[in-house]
Amino acid sequence: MRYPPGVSQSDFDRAVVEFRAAIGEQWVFTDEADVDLYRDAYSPMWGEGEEKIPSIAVAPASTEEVQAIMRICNNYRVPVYPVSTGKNLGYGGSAPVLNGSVVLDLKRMNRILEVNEDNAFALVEPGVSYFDLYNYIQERGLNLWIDCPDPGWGSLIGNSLDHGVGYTVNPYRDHFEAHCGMEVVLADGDIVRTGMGALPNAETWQQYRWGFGPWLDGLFAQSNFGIVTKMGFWLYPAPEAFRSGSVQVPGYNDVHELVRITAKMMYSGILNTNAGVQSPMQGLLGRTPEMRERYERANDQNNHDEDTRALDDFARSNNTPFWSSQFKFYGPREIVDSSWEYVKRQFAHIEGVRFQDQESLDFPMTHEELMQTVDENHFGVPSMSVFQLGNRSNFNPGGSSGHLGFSPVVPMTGEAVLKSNKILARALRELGGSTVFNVPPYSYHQRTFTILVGFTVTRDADANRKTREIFRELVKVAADNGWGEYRTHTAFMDDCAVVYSFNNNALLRLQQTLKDAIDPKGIISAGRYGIWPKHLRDSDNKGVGNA
Amino acid sequence: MTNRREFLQIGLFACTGSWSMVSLADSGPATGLAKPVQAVLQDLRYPTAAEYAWGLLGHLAGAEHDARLAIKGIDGELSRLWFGAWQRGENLSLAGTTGADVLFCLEQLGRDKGLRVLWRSSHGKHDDGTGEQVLYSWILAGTPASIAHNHYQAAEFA
Repeated sequence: MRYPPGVSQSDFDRAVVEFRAAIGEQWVFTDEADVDLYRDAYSPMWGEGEEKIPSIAVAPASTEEVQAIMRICNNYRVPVYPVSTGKNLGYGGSAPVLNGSVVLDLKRMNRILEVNEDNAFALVEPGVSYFDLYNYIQERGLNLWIDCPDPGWGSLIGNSLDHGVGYTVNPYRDHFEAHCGMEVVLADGDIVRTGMGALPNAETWQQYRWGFGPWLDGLFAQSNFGIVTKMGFWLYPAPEAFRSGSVQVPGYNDVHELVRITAKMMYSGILNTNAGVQSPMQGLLGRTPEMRERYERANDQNNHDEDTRALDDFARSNNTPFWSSQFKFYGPREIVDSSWEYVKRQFAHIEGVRFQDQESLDFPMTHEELMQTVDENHFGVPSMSVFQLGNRSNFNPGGSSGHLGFSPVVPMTGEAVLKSNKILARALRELGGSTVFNVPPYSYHQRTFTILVGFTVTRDADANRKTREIFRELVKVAADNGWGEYRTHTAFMDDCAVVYSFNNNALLRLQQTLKDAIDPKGIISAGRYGIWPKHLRDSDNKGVGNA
Repeated sequence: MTNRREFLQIGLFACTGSWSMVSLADSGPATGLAKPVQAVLQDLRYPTAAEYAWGLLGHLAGAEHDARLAIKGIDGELSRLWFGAWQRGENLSLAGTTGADVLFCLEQLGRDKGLRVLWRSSHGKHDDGTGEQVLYSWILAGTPASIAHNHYQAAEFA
């Protein structure tokens, strides 16, 4: 059996005996073969001394058992790392930030406590996956959609607490924004309900989120202040229809007007789904070195009329628009059709603009029919098809054991699209990085674009070390330009947290103050999102082999 | 890595050498698994998967596995099967020939039900990198040890 750092063997042995008494012997996993299942399959430190590995794992079945576990951990100062389903691959999976922590595996807490069709909400436990809730709704024929990330095997609560996102409409696509009410177990085993849940017999816990007084829910996301054991989510009343279309603009500089209008329509609610900016020219530029150089020079320089004219001529001669955006509409048929017509009118003044009608669907559709659409995730259907990206292919000839995403948030402007392209591409070139995929700016959140630079993770330690080095440099480069990550893998949480450094890291210092007050022994998820407990804050010994 | 001919000629349990070969080599498939294999998956994206999958089926049938054992075709997306009937099943045992993505998902999902990949073999790509997409044949099942930890149930609908 492995032992956690900072706990004597005798104390830990006693804690394990008490864990077994509290939740049953079969739910306390101490054999290395079992504990190894909690390794992060996408770890960029796989097989190295820095890899994060837990000591043991415990799997309680109820809030009461979570409370019992926490009282034991608090008594013996045992570090504990809660995971919902442990499927947060790319962001650390089920492996702790602090090596040797006890994984608190909540996937046995998998009850769907309520789904209310008329008021469109659900109340669930952490072990409920998107598939579970989807199946529940399908089996009962409820007229509701979920909003799911890809893949859909993760926990609603876990994904929401990590600020995960999906693909339908506001507010459902931002999974933390779509939550309403929490139940949280604190480090000492006490239990709190937020919002209207603090009112005994509350009838609006999942409908009115603010409750009375300060709203605390944000403390429990991307943090380590408590263990969420119940959470409410707003669900999307199934829409009648969907349609999508793309707007294509011909010139290099048209990106500014394309994004300006897109942003205006997002802020006014006409567009309420995610949209991105792509360049259909990307392939052509890649195959044409002279034009690629002009593109880089145009991005690099302020006065680039000659290059932009040449680029526009090149695009025109290839009958290829320089930029395009895809827009999606959900709702009554009349409204989605009218919205698309309205959107087209907003762009009509751009010389050479083209519009392309894409999918048009009327609901309800069967599961099988939805799986035949361009992307089932856009219709609240969970799947795992995203894993096909890791296979060997022309796109990814080496195959991979996983991936990481570097994902800074940038403004929703054409200028930011060009600037982020320039800065990140240059940094990657200088750092010798090669990425498998670079996703263009995409509005995962309502008022910003997120740039996703994807790295493969392999079982080659040297390659992974190089990836980590590049990733860490990109964090600094982005921060120098005012862009921070919205979410990251556990390996980079310190790197990403520390660049939020206004006023000598005042935000992090406040988070640390809260940590010391709420979890004075520092036992919950030490180091998560850069928040270390007092006894480890300045220590070089943050667990055996910790990065 | 085995090629198709070796796979079929040498036989399933002689051609491994992979890390995950555990008790099956000594005890054979019938006694190494706590539960007969219930389905053999064939990844329909890869035409050559059929031959391997049928080879698996033949071996498993010969090892006194369920006579009703049949090939199930999937197109790389197994979530409907897993999160449908299988999730609620007890002591699931599966075999198949699929792409790496499907095997990875099954490894990750299987551990929630106390299942491990007990055997796997890759085929399809030559050492020089030419050839077809790498395919894996595999068996996913509970070992006697992990079956004891096979406690996770399907989501309870309260």
